[in-house]
Amino acid sequence: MLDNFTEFISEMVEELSAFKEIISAAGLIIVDICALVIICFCAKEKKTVQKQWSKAARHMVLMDYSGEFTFTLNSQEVLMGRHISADLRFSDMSVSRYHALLSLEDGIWTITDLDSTSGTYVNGQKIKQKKLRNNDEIKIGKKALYIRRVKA
Amino acid sequence: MKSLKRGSRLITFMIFIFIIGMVILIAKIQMEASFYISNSGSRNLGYIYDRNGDIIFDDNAEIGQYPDGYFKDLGNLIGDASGQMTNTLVAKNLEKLSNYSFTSGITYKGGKAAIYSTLSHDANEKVYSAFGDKDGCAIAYNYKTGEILVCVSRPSVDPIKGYEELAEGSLLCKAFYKTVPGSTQKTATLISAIETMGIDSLMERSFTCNGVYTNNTGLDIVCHNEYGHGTQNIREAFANSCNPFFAQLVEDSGWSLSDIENCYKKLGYSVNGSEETEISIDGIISAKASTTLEDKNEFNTQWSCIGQGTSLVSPCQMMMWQSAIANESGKSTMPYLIDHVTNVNGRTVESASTNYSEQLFSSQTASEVKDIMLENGLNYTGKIPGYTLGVKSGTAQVKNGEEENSLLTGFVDDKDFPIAFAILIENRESYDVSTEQIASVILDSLN
Amino acid sequence: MYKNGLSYTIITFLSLLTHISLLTIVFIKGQYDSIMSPIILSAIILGSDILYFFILKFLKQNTYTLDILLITVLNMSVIFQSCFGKVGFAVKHFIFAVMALVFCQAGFKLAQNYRFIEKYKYVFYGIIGILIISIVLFTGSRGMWIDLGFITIQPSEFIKPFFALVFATSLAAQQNKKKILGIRIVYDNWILFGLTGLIVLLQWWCRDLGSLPTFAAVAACGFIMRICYPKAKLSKKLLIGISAAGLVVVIIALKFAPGYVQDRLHVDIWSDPTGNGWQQCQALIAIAEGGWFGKGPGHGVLYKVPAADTDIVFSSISEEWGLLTALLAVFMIMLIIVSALINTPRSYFHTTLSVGVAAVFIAQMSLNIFGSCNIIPFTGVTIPFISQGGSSMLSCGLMAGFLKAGQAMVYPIPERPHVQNAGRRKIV
Repeated sequence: MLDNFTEFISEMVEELSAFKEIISAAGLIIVDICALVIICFCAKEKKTVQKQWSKAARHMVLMDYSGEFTFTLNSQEVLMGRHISADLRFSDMSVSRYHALLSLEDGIWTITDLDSTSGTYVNGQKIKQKKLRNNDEIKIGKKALYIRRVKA
Repeated sequence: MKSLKRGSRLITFMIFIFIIGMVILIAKIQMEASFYISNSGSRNLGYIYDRNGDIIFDDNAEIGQYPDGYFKDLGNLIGDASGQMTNTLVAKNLEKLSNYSFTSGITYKGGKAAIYSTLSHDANEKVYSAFGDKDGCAIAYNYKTGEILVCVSRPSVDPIKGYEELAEGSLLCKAFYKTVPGSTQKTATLISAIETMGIDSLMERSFTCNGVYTNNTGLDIVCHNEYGHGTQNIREAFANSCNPFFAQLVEDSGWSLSDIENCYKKLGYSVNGSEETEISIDGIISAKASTTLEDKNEFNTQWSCIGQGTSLVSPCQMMMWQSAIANESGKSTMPYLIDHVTNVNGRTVESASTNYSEQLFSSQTASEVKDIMLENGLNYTGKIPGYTLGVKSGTAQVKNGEEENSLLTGFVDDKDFPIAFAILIENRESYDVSTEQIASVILDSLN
Repeated sequence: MYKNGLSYTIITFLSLLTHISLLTIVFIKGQYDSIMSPIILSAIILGSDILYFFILKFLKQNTYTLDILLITVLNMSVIFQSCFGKVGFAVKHFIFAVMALVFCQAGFKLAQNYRFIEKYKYVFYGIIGILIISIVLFTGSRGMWIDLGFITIQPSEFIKPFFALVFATSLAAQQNKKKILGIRIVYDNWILFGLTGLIVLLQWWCRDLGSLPTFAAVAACGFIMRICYPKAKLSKKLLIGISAAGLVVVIIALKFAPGYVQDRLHVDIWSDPTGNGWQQCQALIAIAEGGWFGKGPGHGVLYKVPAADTDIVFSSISEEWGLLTALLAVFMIMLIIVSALINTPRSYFHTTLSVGVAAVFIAQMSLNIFGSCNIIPFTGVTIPFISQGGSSMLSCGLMAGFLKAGQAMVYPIPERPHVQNAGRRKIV
């Protein structure tokens, strides 16, 4: 049985030898395409990861009083300030360049004041670092924001 | 978010640099692959053809495959791939001969990589046998285009037969090595004189030759004519090749030593050990002329200007000066050996074009010198019949005067047959073959 | 169906297809004594592929692409390594490939939770310290290997992943600047700076100059990421400043480099093709002989040259498989790094870690490939996953795990949020 099998393979190889170059070129192209398709699958996974993340971030967003402005918290660290590199940027002069940092730790969003000039207030209280709850009011300079849970 | 994008940016930056490196790598491999292969043990070299399609190099030739001595006329010019000779056409152009391409690898059968040379195998064989048992070299090229047609150097070597029991000098093509120019050097002195003084002023000068001239420092310059040539002008003296005349011309107050030096340097001499740049003919290195000029009144300097002493010129360069004169341009036509090169698939990848040197001397000087040389050439119509020639002969003493080399350089003044040549016969006795006979063979076989 | 709810049937099939394509080439163009050798090779490769994919099903993570890519690359490299000189199964390399996958999983578990790393960061400093001491004690001033009799290990390879790891720790400390003598400094940065200096000195001492640029690249990337945390974008000024400083360091280093390094920098390999430049000359000739499509697996002659399966592995693959395949192998490793660009990590810790790992991979590949092809000086480093060598395979596996942690991380989701104002009424 094994002998038959090896013989069969040998014969196949011999027959295919005529197309050596074509087969090796084709093989390479296949490998190339496969690699590209595999990497493209990453993009598909991205959605799953986003879903997972939203769950972990407890579907929290920042919004203003009217609810017209919303900001999705999409990474573990969110920098708020006037500087161009801030994730959440305010052009208001009462906001420091690097004002405060929102960070997610074990499903809880925490705000940390980054030595800002005007200070950071949560529910009217000046804080250095505080764990946030749903519907807390955050005041940065003259800007007031609410952290809220939205429907998944 | 924004701060996280920074990481992506950094990674992208690194990948980008890496990809640039890879592109450089691939380009480098593409360009240099044939060079790598020429260093590898496995290779297959193509043929070199002459201008009529005769094979003049075959790496796989076996004894008996070609007539006896078939490769001997060009043996030390073409060389072989064994590495015995380094300054040869094959050794310098191994890559071009390689039957290899990056896509298809080494082709062992039917590869079409070849060099199509400008040489004429037929003419070279005739010239080679015309030398008889004498040693020496002959080089001739088309001074309009630069194609080298004849380049023979004796003694030579048959690469197929190996390298045992060879005569001295067999492995060098003498046309590219320096030799004592003898009176052919007077052409250079003449050019310098016309450049500096102008033809009219020079023609006014006349000097007397009594067979011997005692120069300003009290040493004797001897003429080959012991009875002397009498009083002559430059034209007569050039035709007579009169040493005392040229010694007095060098001493003349009409020019300074630095004038001579400058003219010589422009001609391509390395004067007093100044920097020597070599001429490259399809990779083959040809030595440049050199001389020593110290004091106009001094014996050695005068002899240098006459063609003895420390002056050394390669026949190839003599021939190139003839082209500058014959073209009446003052620029040499640069010689070449490779007409075109084909790659393994038979596609022409490289073809030669005519190039010129820098201005060696003015074009007026060129036409004046041409005139003088053509006048001199009239004396040779008997020995080299059938051509309008401009020539200068020379006799050079070598090995402390024990041997005399005979030289002849010149050109054919015919726009349909523009040949410049330089011939050297070593240790020639009066009954031996003459340079004129060789010149005649070269011209007849090319015509 | 994998644990994240996506179907990976097509992807795993494609991965198998890459190996089948390569194995077909082995069958048709390869050189083997009996048909059994390629059959055994194919059976093991494809069998292990299927087994890996089966095991993957039981792992709980968000993404699997990186694992599949890694399996593809590793088995591809086993195929390459099995064919040098003659087709025959490279058992040792295969075992290390399996171990690399295990280490990848270990690295993933380790780097998944940044709070865990933060908590035990001194342990990692300690590991680096132990490795450094082991180098000082056991390898001697000219060696890189510790010979344990049955196996030789190269401790400097294992420093690399932990070095990248510690650069991603104590990022938050960037905001706690202490004022000392009027200068605001961050303690952790100075510790890392000292560590970098120590490792550089150590590499210098044991003449492992190939690893030096790798560590330098990790340190440079690490410091850039740290200095920028979390504020300030990567300003051009900063980049130019760092590049300039790096250049100065390199120039000084080259000037005072020991004689044999200087020799290596200035060597014209073709002037002495049998001496100093022998390996490189043979490597380049092999690439030229291979051409685009290669001589066929097993038909090469480069395997006779020392380090054919490590330092000049790029040329070995080029000779037998063709330059296109060698480029493909490099491309696959690039894809592993690129996956971190598509599926970007969500935290600064993982970003920094990914950048560090990418720096190691890219630096190693550059040093190896460009070095063996005489574009830059030749130093003996390995191509991640492709080169033979246990230490390198395992540490690269660990680093791939770190990379995976950035994208495949399972986020801790608290069962019951401890404080919650339920409802969504508006606060007025």
